[in-house]
Amino acid sequence: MTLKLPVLFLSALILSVFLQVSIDSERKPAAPVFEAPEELLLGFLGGLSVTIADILWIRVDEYFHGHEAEEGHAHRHAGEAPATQEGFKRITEVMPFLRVITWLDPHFVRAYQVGGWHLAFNLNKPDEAEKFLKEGLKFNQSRYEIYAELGKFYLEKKGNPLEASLHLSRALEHPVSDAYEKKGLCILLAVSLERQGRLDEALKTWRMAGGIDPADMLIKARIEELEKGKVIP
Amino acid sequence: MRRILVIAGNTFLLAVRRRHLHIITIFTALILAACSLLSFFDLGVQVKFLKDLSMAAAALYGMAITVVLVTNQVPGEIENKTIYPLMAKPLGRVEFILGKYLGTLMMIFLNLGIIGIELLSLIWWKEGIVEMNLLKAISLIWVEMALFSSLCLCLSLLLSPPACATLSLILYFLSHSKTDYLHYLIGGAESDYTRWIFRAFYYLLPNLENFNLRDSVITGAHVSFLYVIKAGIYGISFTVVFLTLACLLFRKKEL
Repeated sequence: MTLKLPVLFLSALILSVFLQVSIDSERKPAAPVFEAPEELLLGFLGGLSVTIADILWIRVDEYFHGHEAEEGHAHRHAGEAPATQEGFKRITEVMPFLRVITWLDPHFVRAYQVGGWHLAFNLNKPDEAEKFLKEGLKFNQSRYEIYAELGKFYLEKKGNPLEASLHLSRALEHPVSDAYEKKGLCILLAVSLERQGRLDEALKTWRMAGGIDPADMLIKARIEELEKGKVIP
Repeated sequence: MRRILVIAGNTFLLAVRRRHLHIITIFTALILAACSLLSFFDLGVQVKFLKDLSMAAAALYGMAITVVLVTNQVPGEIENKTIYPLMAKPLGRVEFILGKYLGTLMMIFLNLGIIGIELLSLIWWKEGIVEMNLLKAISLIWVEMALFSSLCLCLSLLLSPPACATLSLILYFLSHSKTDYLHYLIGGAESDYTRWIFRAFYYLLPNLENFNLRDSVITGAHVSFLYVIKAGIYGISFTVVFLTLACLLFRKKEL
């Protein structure tokens, strides 16, 4: 009995070291979002950081909704464009919140989407938007949303249909649960392919969009135009 | 073994009679129910919120009841002098510690089971599916609490209950956060000597982040059964480490 416990202690400790090595090979620790010491500070928050990010998101949403009520826009959401100078100011004030949310929870995809959109289209800071979205992509490569957001950004802001089609194709490789969202991505991909002159691939993508929503007359018309060769890239 | 089970049963019954535990459980259950009523976001964010907040609530709840239950188990027996008649019986000190540990663990598992069922039901209500990742996450929270309670029990033999509770909380948060930071330090260490010190810290302290599947629950990323089993054995082996340490400490403790 005198020896049994220390032997048990040591063998369990050695087993746990081996298991940790094995677990590390399967679950690689994420690259730190920050350099130390901020990473350490965040680390001390442990699992709470994600909860704090959620609470901050509630503040962001309330901020938008609160001002909408004052302005009478009952259905405006956090990601939409500002209608007034006041709206522009509001976005500028909310951006630091979105930055902190993504620091606290790098998997908060919606915050990256909303932040990237506002930076690119409302605050006219395309370089910052690209950097922000690419940071989001680094942490969320298994999700379609940020690929899709980058695709929209390259197509509509940068006018770079090649990059847009690359990102939109990657987005569609991931599961997209919402059929209308998927249809929208197919349409954007088809447009970016058309702009590159890749009409055969564009036609295939339009058909894919048509398959999702067969009643959409605009898609039908576009497919017919492409089939008749009436489209000028 | 029978003597261990008798002590465990008795400890469990004593824990059931502690009303503040039921209050914590009811409070957590209400928080989880309230999370599901956050309906002013779009659906994707709403489900993310429910999963995020409910997983955080379940983990913090597990930690809270573990600290409340374990820190005063053995010191309470010594302070109330109820340990002396027990020690006068043919009962080994190791059996006493194991019985106490098993009894509190039964209570922790029962409470976490209630919260886990509520969580699974809420997600099923929102998404219409029984989420496998959530099941795996809850089972790993159980293992995590088994490990954490053995750590608390070990500390309770060295420190007073308030000091033990404080240090347990600090260790809980540190063990959750050390992974990324120590990896960062190991990568950035200039000499082999410091690298080995950081490595020793990394491997010889329990890594509670191994049991955190929250990201996978939220993003839907696949978690293999092999991983769950490995993390489970890792938790059990560290539990054995702390329990043996507790037994060694208690054997030498003057009562």
